[in-house]
Amino acid sequence: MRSKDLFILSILTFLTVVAWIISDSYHASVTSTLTTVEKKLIEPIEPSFDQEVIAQLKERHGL
Amino acid sequence: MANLGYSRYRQYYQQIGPALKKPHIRAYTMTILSLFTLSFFGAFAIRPAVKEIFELNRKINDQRLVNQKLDEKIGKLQLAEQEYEKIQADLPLILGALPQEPNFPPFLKAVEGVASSSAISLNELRFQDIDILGKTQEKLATPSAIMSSPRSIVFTVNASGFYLDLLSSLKNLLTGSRLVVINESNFSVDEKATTSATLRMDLKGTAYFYQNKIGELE
Repeated sequence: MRSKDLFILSILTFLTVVAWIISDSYHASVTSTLTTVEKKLIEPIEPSFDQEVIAQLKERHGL
Repeated sequence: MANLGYSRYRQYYQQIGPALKKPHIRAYTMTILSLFTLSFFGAFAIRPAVKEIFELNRKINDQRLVNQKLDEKIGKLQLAEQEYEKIQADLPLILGALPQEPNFPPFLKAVEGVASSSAISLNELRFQDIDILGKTQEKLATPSAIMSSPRSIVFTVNASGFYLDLLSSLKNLLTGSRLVVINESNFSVDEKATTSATLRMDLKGTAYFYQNKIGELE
């Protein structure tokens, strides 16, 4: 194997490793670390009650 | 054997020294070795470290987001508490429509009451198997699953009477304090009846309830 071949092989290896590092870093930065429980906890809630439904319930008679 | 190997490769060892003295060979060798070294440490030392840095950074951002969202949620919960105080008077209405327990006996009485008040005869009243104590489903389902969907009591009614009375009973059932959904209703001529105006009504409905008690949630 000539020096030039080894040189090309080393450059390709180096570029592959660089690509691997970039890919891993990107994957780590875009993957959410939140657990299912945390996702459930931060789900927003609506702090109001449907007055229309309550009004409709008032119109009902007791069985 | 060892001597044979040494003599075989001795000429290569002897060639390395003079070859490295040539500037272009030395430059190539150093560059190749440097690149392989960088690749090796890049793969086994730099990559895990960089990955860890990005993971930790992401974790910090995620936790900041959780903190911010939880702050917002606390604010909304305080608002919800104020709203809850306002509807305290209407709470029996809501709990009547969607009780926290199956409340089966009162519901049964209510259906019978509707039948008697509408002057129709109740031939048959069937309920699907229900767990009155609600223990079976609690064991099977997760707390969040129990919270997210109401449980149902499916029932079928077979009644006979005049059309307007049957219609009135249906209306009373739908406008009663307990939330009832009619899934299916069929009207047909009652062949057993003495008068031709008597109809037979087959009804399939569902009543709902939430198993969780407010005290248990806290």
